[in-house]
Amino acid sequence: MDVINYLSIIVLIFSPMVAAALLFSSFFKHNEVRIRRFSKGFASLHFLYTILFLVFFNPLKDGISYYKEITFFGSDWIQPLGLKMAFGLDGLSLLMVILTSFVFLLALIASKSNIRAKHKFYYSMIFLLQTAVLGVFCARDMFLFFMFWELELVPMYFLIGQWGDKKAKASAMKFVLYTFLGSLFMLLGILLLHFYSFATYGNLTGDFSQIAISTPEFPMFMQIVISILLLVGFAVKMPIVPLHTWLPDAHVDAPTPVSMILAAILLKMGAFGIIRFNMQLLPEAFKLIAPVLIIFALVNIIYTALVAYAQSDLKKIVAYSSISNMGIVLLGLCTLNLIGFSGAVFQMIAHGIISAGLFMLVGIIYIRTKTREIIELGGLGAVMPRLMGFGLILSLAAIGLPLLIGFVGEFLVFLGAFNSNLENFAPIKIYSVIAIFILVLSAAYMLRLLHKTFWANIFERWQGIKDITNHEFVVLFSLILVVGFFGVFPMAIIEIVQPVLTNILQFLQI
Amino acid sequence: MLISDFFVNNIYTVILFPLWVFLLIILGRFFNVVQSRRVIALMTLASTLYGIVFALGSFLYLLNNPNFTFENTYSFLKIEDFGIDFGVFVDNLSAVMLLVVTTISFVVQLYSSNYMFKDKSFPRFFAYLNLFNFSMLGLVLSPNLFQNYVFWELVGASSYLLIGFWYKKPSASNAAKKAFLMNRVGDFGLLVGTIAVSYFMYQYSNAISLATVPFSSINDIGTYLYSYTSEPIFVIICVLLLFGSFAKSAQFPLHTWLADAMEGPTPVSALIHSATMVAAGVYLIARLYPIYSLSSGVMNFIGIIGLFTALICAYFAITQNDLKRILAYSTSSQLGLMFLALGAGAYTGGIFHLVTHAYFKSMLFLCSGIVIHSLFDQQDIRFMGGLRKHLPLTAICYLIGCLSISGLLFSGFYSKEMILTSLLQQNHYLFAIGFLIVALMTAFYMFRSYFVVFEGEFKGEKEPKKTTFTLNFSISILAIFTLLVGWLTHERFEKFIQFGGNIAQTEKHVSPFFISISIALIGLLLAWVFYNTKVKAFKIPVLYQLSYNKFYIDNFYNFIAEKVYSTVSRICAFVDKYFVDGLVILAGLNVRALSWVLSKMQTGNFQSYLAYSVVFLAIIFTGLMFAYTMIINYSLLSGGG
Repeated sequence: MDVINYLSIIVLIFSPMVAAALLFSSFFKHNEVRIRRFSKGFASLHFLYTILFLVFFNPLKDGISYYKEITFFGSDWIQPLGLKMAFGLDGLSLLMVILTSFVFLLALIASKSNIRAKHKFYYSMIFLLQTAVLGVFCARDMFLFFMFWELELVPMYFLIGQWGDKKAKASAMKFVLYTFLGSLFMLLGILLLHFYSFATYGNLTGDFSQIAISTPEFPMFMQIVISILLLVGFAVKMPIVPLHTWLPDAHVDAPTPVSMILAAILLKMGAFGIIRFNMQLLPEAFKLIAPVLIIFALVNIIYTALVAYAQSDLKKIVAYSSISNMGIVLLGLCTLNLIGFSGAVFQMIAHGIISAGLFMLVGIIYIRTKTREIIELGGLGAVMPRLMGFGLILSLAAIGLPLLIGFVGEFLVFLGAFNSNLENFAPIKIYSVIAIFILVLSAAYMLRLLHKTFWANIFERWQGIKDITNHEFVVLFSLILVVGFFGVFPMAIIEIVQPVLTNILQFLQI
Repeated sequence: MLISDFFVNNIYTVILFPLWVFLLIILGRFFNVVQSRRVIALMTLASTLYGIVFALGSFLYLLNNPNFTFENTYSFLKIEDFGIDFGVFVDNLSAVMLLVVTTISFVVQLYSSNYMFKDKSFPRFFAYLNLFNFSMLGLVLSPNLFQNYVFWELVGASSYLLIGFWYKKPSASNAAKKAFLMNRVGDFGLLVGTIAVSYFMYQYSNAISLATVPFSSINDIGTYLYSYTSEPIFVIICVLLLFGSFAKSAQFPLHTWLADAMEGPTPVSALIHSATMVAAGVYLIARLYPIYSLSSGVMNFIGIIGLFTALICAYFAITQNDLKRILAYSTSSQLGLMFLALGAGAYTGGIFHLVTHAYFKSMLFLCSGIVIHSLFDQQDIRFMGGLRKHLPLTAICYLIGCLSISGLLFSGFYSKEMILTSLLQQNHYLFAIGFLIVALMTAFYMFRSYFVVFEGEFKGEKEPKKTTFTLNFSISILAIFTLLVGWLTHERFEKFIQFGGNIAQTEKHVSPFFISISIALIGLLLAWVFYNTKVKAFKIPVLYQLSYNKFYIDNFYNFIAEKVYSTVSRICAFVDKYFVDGLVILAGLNVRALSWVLSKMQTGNFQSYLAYSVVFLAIIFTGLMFAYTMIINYSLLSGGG
């Protein structure tokens, strides 16, 4: 008996959607407590279910595990175009799926104190979002990928706009329009990819593993054009400077749990897309683009770290630090060697955990003080020692203290960049040295955040503030456990993805 | 065989025990399990005592087995053939460091269990002490440069936490931040240097195991590195690596954090900022000595930076009025002497001075802690005086420390003499002269502090408090160490710690001790004349200002941090807000019309929103798919590609 056969990826992806429908239906009364408990219970079950996928996953097996295709009355999804509704997991998607399920669970726990109205709609939107994100990570077909990519915008628009702050509607609109415009480029890229694959080989397919486009017959110019079109879409999501300005607004105005999801999961979709499309499908073009992208990555890292230092809003500091961290991911992808690449993937996970924690932290402060302005805060450590403890660990992890999760990713990326063979195109050694200077810059803005909120003298009006509640404790403590565990045992993550990454890289090595 | 290799083989437990106690205290406090202060202190002391036993065991084993090294690693990270191992590495140098760290840790923990007993955050303090112990032992036992970097950062972080222990004090907050950032600058250099060395080993050398830069084969790494690189690149890599040492050991230009670090509790200053962590910079230079010693330029650079720091910090110490700050600058200055010694090739002398200095300097700090405690947190020496009558044992210990640090008697005499002998042997006369000037200033400022604090009339307001047995006991232990270490070990030490590289060792033993002693005596006399007789000390106008304001280096760094850096970041933020985002908004104006339509549709009813968006997306997708299907069909009809 093989347990693998009983694990259905379809259930994994679509069960949150079913839960969303359930919550949204009239079956559920407008009873806040019941809705919340159902959601948390469901999310926990879902998380356990994803863990099962991990347990029975064999990273050394070639190709895709848990592959499943949905057919409609015996035919494929869109038969005339050769598109299939196929899902499957490789090591990379599996990691992202687990991260997704974990962060969603924590976000749902964190929702208790943050969401005050329209619970039914809120929780169903969260679950819809979860399905969309899982779909993106598991899709084995370009068009399916794109469909889920766009589907994610719908719940996101409401989640930011409905439960956010004053300017939330405008920010949500900015987010949606920005991403939507980006994905139009992306769609064009996908269509071209599909068309040229068909035009060159005559087989109509959208399957990732069947599109073999990087061959001499395929015009290089076209490859680069497609690559850039796709990159624009991913760059908006990731985000890459100068396409990042939606992010601070969206983060600042979104409610805390949504900020957590946005930073921890949605930004990773951009990096994931770059790996799936640009690196896997168009390796030849990516080799040419990588030296240019490295400069973007550097700007991302250094420039946004500088901007973060000047912000006065706590959430904005964390938001800009997210962009800076994604710059490190991008740098790792562009190194084109396994060390940097593993570092980039590790950094994706690490940043997912840490940024979720930091947004949670800021959210906790905001609920109690109703302000996020750094000058109005200070000395909160005197009344919230526990939160300060968590804040310390999270900030130290964010600035890459060894033996915490933030270190390994950064470190491997720098190591990979220094060892990269891109020498012929760019002075990569110098670039990586500049990038390493983020050690100092990130410490500057992170310690500023930490010290201005928790240290020194406390204002009289914050004297009566209560420390964290049990809900908040659970969220932060789970994050800290992950931060500590993978900081000490980084191979637990790297071993899962290494075979996939090696596979992708064999066409990319210079 | 008297001592078995049991201790060496299980030395890793020495690192893990403090970590375990740290977790016990933190989690115990979080879940309200372990609350008793006595239990916490006992657990901590037990873990350190355990460390002492193992350190002693390994040390004795190494004494009996010359040239024995022990390495035991497990793989921390492995990517293809590039692996980074963590583990332990024991050789003579790390055995000596281990012994120094554990003994001083033990004494300081004993001292703190009494000194900090009334503090509300006593458990947190001990948790941090354990964290520091863990990091420092991991650093000392590092088998390779990567683990060294990992624990390098961790000691920095625990030092940061301990400096900012009283986080409600704004000055402590700033000092902690400053210490962390300055150390981060050093870490940056160290990391780049580490990666660069590893790069050359990984890409060029045949042995893949060298990529992790193990200390056990550092000689080979040095020669390889020297042959793979051109001279400028080699020097740059060395200087980058040295930057880590400069920051951690508070050498110019990264020396300013140490004086501010005195905001932390006094036991912390005694443990971290005088004896152990700040010595890590010297330790790392000793570890990488086979690399540095290949280039005379690099060696001279180390020596010159060390000498310069020793001179300026001794100069600053003369005019300071804060007792702890005097000791802090003295620490920087003495560390500078170690750098000078290492740079000039006096390897054994430098390390020996590290050991002796660790004991007497932490004793001095603990004495200052007793003084500050008994005067109700008064740190300004102008409000002290005549304390010998109230704290006789403290005065004696402080005097022993002063005599030792000036090189007049006891352990400091032996180590300083060892350095001076080496300097003269190798004809580094300039360094030797600088060394003597520092010795003069050292004697002067140390005895100044002694005379002002312990002799003369008491100038404070409140009558001093009595001290306790535990505190006295702790300083007595260190005093015994100070009295005995130099005398008992200086001959054996020369055989035990030796650098077998290309630096010429002459057998001839010149004894210049009468020079150094007479110069130190001049300093003592000057201090006595100015501060213990009727003669009033006078201030030389410009020189006094320069010394008191520390050459305005602090002000300059503050200016960089507060004005320059924040201006740059504000400009970036401005650009981000009004140019990068401004373009987007400009583009958005065209969408205004659309958004007006959208706003009409905003009825506040979420079902209708949902319906709108689903319909909207459905239309777009259907349209696109329809058009695309037509294109494909058309090309199928026309014969495909």
